[in-house]
Amino acid sequence: MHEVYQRHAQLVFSLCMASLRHRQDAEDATQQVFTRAWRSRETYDVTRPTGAWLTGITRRVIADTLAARDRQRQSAEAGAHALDRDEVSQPTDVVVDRVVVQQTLGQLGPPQDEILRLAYTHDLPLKTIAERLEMPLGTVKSHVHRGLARMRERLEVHND
Amino acid sequence: MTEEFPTGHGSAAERHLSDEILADLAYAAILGETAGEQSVTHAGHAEHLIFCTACREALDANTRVLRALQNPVDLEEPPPELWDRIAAELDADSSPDEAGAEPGVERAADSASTVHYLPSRKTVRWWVPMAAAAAGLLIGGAAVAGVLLGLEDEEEPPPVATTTVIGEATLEPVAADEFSGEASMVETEQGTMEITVEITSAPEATEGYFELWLRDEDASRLHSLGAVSPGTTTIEVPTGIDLGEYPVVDVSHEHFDGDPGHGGVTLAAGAMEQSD
Repeated sequence: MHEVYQRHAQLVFSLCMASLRHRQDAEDATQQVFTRAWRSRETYDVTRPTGAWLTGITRRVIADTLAARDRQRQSAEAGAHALDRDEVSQPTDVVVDRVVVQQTLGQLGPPQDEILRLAYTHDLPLKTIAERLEMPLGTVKSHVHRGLARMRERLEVHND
Repeated sequence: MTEEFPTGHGSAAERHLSDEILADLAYAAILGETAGEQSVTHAGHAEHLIFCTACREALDANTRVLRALQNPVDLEEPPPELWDRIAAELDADSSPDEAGAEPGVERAADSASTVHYLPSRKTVRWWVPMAAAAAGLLIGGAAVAGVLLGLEDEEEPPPVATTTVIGEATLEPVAADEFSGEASMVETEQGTMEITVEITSAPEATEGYFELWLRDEDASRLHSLGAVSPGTTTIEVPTGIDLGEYPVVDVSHEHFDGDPGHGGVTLAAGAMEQSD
């Protein structure tokens, strides 16, 4: 279980932080994910990827936490639970995509991660990227498409 | 001009729009969205996309990836104490009758590791449905007694006056079709450690013999305790071995091949569980 935690805690915690936007809630939610996982381990199909299984559990814990929050907010006095919400919250699917993509960038490493960020987060034309990194345009394109393919694969894994 | 449009039942590799075109279309669509355009034109490929499910799905997948890249999030690591809280909760979960025995934080971290059997032809299960996952046992009389009684570090553990059972394992079949046995680890009056293995049913040790091992969960570290036979065998366990590193008791089928290593066939194994 410890191994499973070490391998996947970042994913689960990042999902919780991005969805719940509150550190303590995210820690509690992460704890719930792993304890639920342990308690339901008999139902786990070993042939499927563990990350996908944990992502599924995380979605449910996040949904439960948000529902509980809504109930609390309705019955609590104003200001009793100040939550840090500096932007409109996104549906969990979108959050999962963002975290998985970010993780994949980390896995891809240089130069792919930088190329993808420059192209699609900073919106630079591929030609400019090629010049900046001193690479042939063809190579940059190839990196982009391999990187995107890898991301599509990972997104598919993490979505029920 | 007739074209054959695939029904979309083909493999994901059958695509008619290249990766590059798909990526460009997806990107254009996203930029268009951001710019507030109402409809997406798909630059002349609209007709193909209407008929080709595979390409449509590929375009959707690309669009999701690019949208996610447009809005990066920070990856966050949970604080190190979080694991300890999880382990403590799981530990309390699995031994509700150990009233008041609060496992120390380090003990809990050790004891929540998984137990793997050496692979057999059946599906390898990640988790072992045992009451308590492998317990971390330390050698040395005082340390053992102290941990088991759940004492705080400052308290003096009582002297070990008689033989004390410090751990037990039930041997369950792995590669063997039928195998049953129990092992118990005791500390003697003199302070030495012994393991007693009682094998109640086992296959024949054809062209060989049974050997007893202590090992870690994934069999990367093994320590041989010697040969055992059906019935009861007691073997002294050397002091100085950190039982926390070898929580699994393993019985293997060995041959007279002159190779002292584990032959790879685990007949039966069991996780050593701390005794009260």
